[in-house]
Amino acid sequence: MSLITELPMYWLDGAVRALDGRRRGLSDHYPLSEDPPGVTPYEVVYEGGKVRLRRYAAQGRAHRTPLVFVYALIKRPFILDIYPGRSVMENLTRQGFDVYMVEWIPPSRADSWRGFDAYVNQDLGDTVHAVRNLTGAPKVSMLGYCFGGLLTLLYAALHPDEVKNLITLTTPFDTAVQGNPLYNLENRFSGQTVDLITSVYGNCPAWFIRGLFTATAVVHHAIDKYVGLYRNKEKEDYAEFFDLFEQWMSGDVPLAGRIFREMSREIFQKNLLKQGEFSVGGERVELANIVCPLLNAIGELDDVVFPASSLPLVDFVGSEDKRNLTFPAGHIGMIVSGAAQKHFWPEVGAWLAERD
Amino acid sequence: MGQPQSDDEIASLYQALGAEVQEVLHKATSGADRDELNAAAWKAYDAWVRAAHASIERVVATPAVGDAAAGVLNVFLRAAQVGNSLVGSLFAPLWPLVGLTPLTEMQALFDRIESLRREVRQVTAPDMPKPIAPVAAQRVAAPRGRRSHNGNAAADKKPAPLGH
Repeated sequence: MSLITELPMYWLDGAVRALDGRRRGLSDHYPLSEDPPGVTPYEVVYEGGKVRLRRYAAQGRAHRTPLVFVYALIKRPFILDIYPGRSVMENLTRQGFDVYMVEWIPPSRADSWRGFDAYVNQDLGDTVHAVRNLTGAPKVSMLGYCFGGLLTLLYAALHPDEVKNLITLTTPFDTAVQGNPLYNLENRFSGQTVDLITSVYGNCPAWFIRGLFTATAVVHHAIDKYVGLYRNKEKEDYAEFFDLFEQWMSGDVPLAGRIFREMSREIFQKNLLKQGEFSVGGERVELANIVCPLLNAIGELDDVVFPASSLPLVDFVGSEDKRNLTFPAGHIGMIVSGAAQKHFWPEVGAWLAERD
Repeated sequence: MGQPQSDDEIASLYQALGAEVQEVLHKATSGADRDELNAAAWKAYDAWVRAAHASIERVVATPAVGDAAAGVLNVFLRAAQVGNSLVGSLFAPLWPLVGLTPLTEMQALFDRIESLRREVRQVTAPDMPKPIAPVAAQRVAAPRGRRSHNGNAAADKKPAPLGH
């Protein structure tokens, strides 16, 4: 079949996936059971607040310090364990890490009161304590991806005694960088717009978040990914991986109203975190409090969080052992690309192992 | 990708696109074989994707587009707000008359069920490790499900320290 006849079919499949994702996102209690099962075995070892903590056990001899992997509040975490050979969980456990992955339960309308305080001081705090309790380790290593990197950063600044090593992965920090479509849209929405969104919907709805991300790569989402499927359909497993990946892409979840307001106004519009004036639960976030080793990992081709937004972070923490690690991949490529699995994640593992 | 493209960079992307399109036309008119023509066409397509992506990214990143998007969104949200208020005020008294429960009461009921479900899970779940002792003591005093229900943020700002 030719491109002209196949493309409409791919678009239709994409429309069905998008509608299905919208249905899941609109549900007040997100249907967690509809997530694909993943490839690496895990057990749920703790549940509380809006967190479910999964333990992916190390294969072979384990490193001493447990690794807490903090996923973003946006989208579902099955991207981390989506396909054999492209699974971060599989990669890290093979390197001998006991990984405790923080799976955020999407908020219902009744959770609209949740802000950074609830997510960082309460949920993440309980999670870290649960890991310490389970393992007996006095401190944990923490790795946060994207929005999860921001949460991890805040936690490490507010509770520095509990964090042994910190890895921030594609984490937004300086939100005043120019030329980023996502930041531009977020920055141009007034406080009134943000208030209206939470007034009408309680939380920031999933469709709004999806709209923001689609705006950063219109050509890709409208045409190029389907053309890519056509061009690569003969490759082994490509179509199967594409389907899983798109299921993740269309699986947006709402963001709790209060954290959306705090994020939009204080982090994006006023850039308060970089200015050292951001507070969580009434306590100012002093990044200089972070003295543990820091690895700030950045995707050179990231068009969601521009490298220029993440790079300055290392200049604001108090650590002596700190560095940026740039890798030639995009925002999601840092997680699922074959090159990242082969080169980036082993480097992350080696960095952690040296500081175990 | 990964940083804003300058005018010169975008112009060079369009120059590259022009060159690729010329190559396709040249191959098409000079009777090149089908595989060669296909390869040239895909190269032109890739050049178009790069140029279009950079252009759209540039446009979306302009303040005017951000302002316009915010304006449209404001109008939509205002309309939704007014619509919700109208529906609520006009129809809410009618639902009980036809034997239906208003949405707000249903929502409150769902929230209550959810809150109870969490409390039951906290008490009964045998496979969950107990949270650390000092934390557990606080949780018993003020179950989270209730706190999230009354619209107030949690009172305990920080997790309790470890006992060991």
